[in-house]
Amino acid sequence: MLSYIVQRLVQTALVLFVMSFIIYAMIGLMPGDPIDLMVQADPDLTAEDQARLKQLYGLDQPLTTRYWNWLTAAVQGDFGYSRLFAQPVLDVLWPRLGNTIVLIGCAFLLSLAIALPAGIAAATRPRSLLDNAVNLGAFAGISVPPFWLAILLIILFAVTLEWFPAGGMTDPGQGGLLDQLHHLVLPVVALTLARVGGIIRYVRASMMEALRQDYIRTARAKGLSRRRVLVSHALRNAMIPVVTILALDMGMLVSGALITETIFGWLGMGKTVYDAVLGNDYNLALMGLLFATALTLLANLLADLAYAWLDPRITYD
Amino acid sequence: MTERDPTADTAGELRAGAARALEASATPARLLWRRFRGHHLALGSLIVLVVLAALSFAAPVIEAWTGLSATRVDLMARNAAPTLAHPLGTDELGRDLLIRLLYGGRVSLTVGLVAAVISAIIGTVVGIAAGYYGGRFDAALMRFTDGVIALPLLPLLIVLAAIDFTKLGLPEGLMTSESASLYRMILLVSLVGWTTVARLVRGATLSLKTREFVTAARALGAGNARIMWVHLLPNVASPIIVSTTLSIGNIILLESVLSFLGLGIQPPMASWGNMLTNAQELIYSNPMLAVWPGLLIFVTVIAFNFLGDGLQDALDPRSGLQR
Repeated sequence: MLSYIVQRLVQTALVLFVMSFIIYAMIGLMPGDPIDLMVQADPDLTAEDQARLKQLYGLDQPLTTRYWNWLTAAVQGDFGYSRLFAQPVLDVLWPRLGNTIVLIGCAFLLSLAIALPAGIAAATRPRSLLDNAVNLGAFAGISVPPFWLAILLIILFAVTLEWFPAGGMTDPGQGGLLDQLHHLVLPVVALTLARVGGIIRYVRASMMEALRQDYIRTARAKGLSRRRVLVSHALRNAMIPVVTILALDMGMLVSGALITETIFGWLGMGKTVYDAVLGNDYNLALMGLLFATALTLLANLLADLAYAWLDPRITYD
Repeated sequence: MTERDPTADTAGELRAGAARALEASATPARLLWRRFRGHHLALGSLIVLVVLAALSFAAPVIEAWTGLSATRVDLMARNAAPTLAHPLGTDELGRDLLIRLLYGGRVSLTVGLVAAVISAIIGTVVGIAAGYYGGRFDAALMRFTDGVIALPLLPLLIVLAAIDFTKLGLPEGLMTSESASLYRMILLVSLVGWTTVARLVRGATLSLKTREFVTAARALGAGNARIMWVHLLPNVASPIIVSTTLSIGNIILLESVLSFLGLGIQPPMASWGNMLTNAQELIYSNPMLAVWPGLLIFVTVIAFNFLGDGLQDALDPRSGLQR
């Protein structure tokens, strides 16, 4: 088991390394470069000055050399400055990573709290009115454009009913925990509704598959209570594929968080990446993307480990 | 790009699938149609999609007939309420909302259909090759596919959407033409959309390639390419059709998100996504501007999902029994 964890950690680090190069190359292909931005700020720069600056900052080097320079600086803890925030990149990103984890974590827990009971209830009474309703709701959930849903929530709860703020992290002059939670409600609900439909469908399908197995019939024949059969026989086995899906869904959740954060002005990773890309903040975009990638890869790793805990049939040699 | 009826593919493939069923097991094509027809939601969705597509692709004709214009700015009639002249009112620049919605549908449906077909082709090639050749080749391709699935796609797509293609040596004329954002969108979405089909096809190929008819074909001297093209591909057609139909909805969602964020289809070309870009600022003055495009995306995507679901039941009767 330990060697498996080490092996997966090495694998994850390797993927992250490859991704860092791909992302570096992609950022290099964004319009303009730092010299262009300097020219914008100071139109008096001559072509000679530009060439000299390019040489000074190493922008005339080939891609691999530039990447190597970035990497050697990065392992020494120098990730560069953010142009938009005039701060070291990591000083910008750490608090925002925290904000995203709060948002994603709340949405994840809320999705589970909705999807598990709904999926199980639907699976135990196939073709009933309840099952049809859950199914229809899940279909609607996976088909609704997440940003539109967020806008509708704002129209209803912020503009019309005025129950919750339309965006931001805190109200000016306040900023206590309660105020922050108040601002968290709509983003979490929007992100949850955007993802929960898919999870319900997986829980339902997986539970139905488990309920078809022979050991369920055996358990029932033994005279176990319905509840016991459902929870300790069916659910435990049904959860194994669900965990994989939840892990794969983490990438989608990070994607969804980008939309939610942008619409609600929640200062998280997704909004930061978006602002950085639009604002030509190359250093920030690069590290923001790497953070987002690392976050999803880590979630995948955790899911693989949870696998072993849930399914004793899987051994790791 | 040629425009075409978006249902042509599905209906054509449905007929082809039915014809195969007829040859293979003497199951009448009617049986397939009857199974599909029994799925009321899917049938209704098909009708909705046909109507929506017909109206969208006829937008220039409707524009000419009614004298409404999708591009004429009328600052005297901004944010007008619905009237006989403007059935759904006008937007913040006084353009007729209904015609703009139809033009937007044309773009969104085109992106969805074309990118779904390209994704399906990439996914099928990757899936059949991985499943058929197996071994290290398979392992490498599937690790790559898993990697793409696990990535946070939207943040990466945002950077890809911002890429300056002239830095890659593409001619400037191509990238600045009016339809450039359309081509770019189709390319981007196809790049990430092929993974589901690849995994499904690989799984099906793995089990099919050990069957007797493949061994028989090989004994008769068929080469690898012929076995994959003639013997394997027709047998994996149903999962491809179903997952392609389902992916159209996802692609339309993805297109709308990127366009909403200002990185997809660029104005003045309308798409359902970019019609919502300004909606957030206008929710106080004209909330209906935010409602209509989103509602159309929602209806279209849910219709494609119901259609895919119905096709799955019709093409694979066993899945129906298990439900």
